[in-house]
Amino acid sequence: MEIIRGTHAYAVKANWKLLAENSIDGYHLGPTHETYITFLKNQGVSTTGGLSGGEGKDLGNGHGVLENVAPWGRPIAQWVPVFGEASKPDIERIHDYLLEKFGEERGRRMTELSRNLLVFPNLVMNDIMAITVRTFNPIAPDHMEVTQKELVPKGERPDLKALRLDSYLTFLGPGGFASPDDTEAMEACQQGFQAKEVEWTYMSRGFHHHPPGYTDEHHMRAFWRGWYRRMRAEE
Amino acid sequence: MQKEGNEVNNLEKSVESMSRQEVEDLLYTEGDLLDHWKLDEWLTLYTADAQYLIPTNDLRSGDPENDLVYINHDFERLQALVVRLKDRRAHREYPWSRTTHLVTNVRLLGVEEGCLMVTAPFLVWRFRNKDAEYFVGHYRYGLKLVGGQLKIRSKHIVMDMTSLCPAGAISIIL
Repeated sequence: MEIIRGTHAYAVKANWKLLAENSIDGYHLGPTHETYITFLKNQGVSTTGGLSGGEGKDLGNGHGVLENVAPWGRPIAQWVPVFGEASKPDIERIHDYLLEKFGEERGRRMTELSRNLLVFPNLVMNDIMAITVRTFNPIAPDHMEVTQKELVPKGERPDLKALRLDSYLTFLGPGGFASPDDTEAMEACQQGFQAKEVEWTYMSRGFHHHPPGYTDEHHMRAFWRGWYRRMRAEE
Repeated sequence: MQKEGNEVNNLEKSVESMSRQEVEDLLYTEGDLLDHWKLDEWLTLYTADAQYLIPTNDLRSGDPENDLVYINHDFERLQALVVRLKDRRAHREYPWSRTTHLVTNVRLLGVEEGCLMVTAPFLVWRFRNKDAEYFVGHYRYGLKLVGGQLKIRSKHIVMDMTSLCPAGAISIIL
């Protein structure tokens, strides 16, 4: 794999921890990115299933991951009509090859499941409609700067690489059809936090679910626990 | 008779013979339509094979087939962008921000592959919810005559800022 040239560098007027949450939360897709879902539908992608069949995992030390089935196409190797008929046989061939090479279970995870990974505290690697690598740093309690890159397989065939790069831009980054609304949501939350009467962020979804589902907050609580433990150690 | 006169006039038009004033009229019209959020009308300024490209701040020569860029829309994607921006669930732009597109120092660079190439520095301001964001750089247009109308075949938006900060998105059309 390699990181390609070009960097998305932007700012969000919100606390940095909101992007840690936003990057791995499995339930904001519908309300926050409804226009992206509409875009997919208009492109002939079936979105009736939405996100499904996944799991949030606490990976220890504040790290967490969300893994699920998503409606968008994946350059490795889930074809959708928007990729064009010409690429269908190749993408299906890669899919079958990976299942053969890595076995049914791992092969399906690689090709069919999307993955949102948070490496504590501020590194995100989301393997969704393309792979984004994101870091974010606080420059004030209510202000962060985000640096975002793209990870691609080395030596990918040029036409498939072009599909991958385009797939990235549909959703991701400051000019995508989705990420600007994440920025808006985080900034709106930050403004809401000025109401100091509310002392807590409530994070109890799926508290008693075993195993936790993808819309539960198990893997997000992993981040907050990792953060809280370190902050207490400082005292 | 008026109509015939126009037709004759159109036949004589060529991109080579376009005056700077005619080009400026198109660019200023585009800025005005965007500032007034007349997005359907704005789309009619583009050709069916249009490209709208915004490279990243750190790689201004970015090639969308090999490098990460911010935006690389064809005409179909521009239509989808307009659908999105007119949707009240496009949260970053609901309500729409106020914008000012300033285009200046327009220069005609000659014809390349049937397109009249034009450069112009730009400054776009965006105001919303107490935010003030700016986008500064150079436009590079490729213009084509379609049915006697000067239209935009390509618009490359090359920014001079070293990062988008303090902006959080390119949620408007630059």
